Amino acid sequence: MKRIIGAAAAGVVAFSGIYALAASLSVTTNTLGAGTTAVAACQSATLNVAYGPSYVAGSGYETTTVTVTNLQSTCYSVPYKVTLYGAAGASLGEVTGTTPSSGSTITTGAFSPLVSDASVQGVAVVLGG
Amino acid sequence: MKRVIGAAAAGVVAFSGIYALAASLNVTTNTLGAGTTTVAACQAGAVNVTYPAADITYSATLPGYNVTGATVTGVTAGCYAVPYQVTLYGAGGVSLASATGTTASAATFNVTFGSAASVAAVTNVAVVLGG
Repeated sequence: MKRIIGAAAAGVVAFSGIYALAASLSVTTNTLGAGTTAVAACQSATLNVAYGPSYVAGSGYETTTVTVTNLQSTCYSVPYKVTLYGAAGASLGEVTGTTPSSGSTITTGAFSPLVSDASVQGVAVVLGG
Repeated sequence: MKRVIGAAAAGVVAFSGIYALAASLNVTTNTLGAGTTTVAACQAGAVNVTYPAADITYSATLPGYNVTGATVTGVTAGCYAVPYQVTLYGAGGVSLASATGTTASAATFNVTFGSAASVAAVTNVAVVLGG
């Protein structure tokens, strides 16, 4: 009789242990954080690009620098890149720098080598970063 | 004593039934448990995403400028050496480029996107740290 009661008791203890494990499963987690933010342009106003061609003997007119106007204060002191491109979007030359901290005009450094005006089909400008 | 024998006999019958069932259907089970825990961010402070000039490159295909990578700053110690994912999104939440890796044990880490994204098309950036 004692053995039977003992076995039954052991069974109860064993099942109690199993249910306890299932009910109180310990869970840990690694940290996880996520965030999203807008990537906005530093200004919404349109920039205007003017070219500064120079006549080069034997080569004709070539662009030495470009002037970007209508710069807004929100784009002051940020990196810029300007690329003149030709047929099929091929880059003809790029200049880089930092926008001024005042005024509304960027005068780029000189393209090197100079870019033939006849080849220029477009200009790409990026501000910020 | 009779009651003990009776109980034992009933037990034999009961176990016999179980063995009979076991012979006809073999069933196993995986363990199953449940619990909950808080999923916390690895840091409270904001991280900042910047786009170094070296990661802004001209693309003749566009034509225009692409972004090929970024730098994440403002990481604090709780987010050191954890997995990260950085994704650039465009209009409509379309993913334009993403990068995955492990953060450095430093306040800054650099990412290189799997593909370049047009700067003009990028509207949002999403960052996930940890996991």
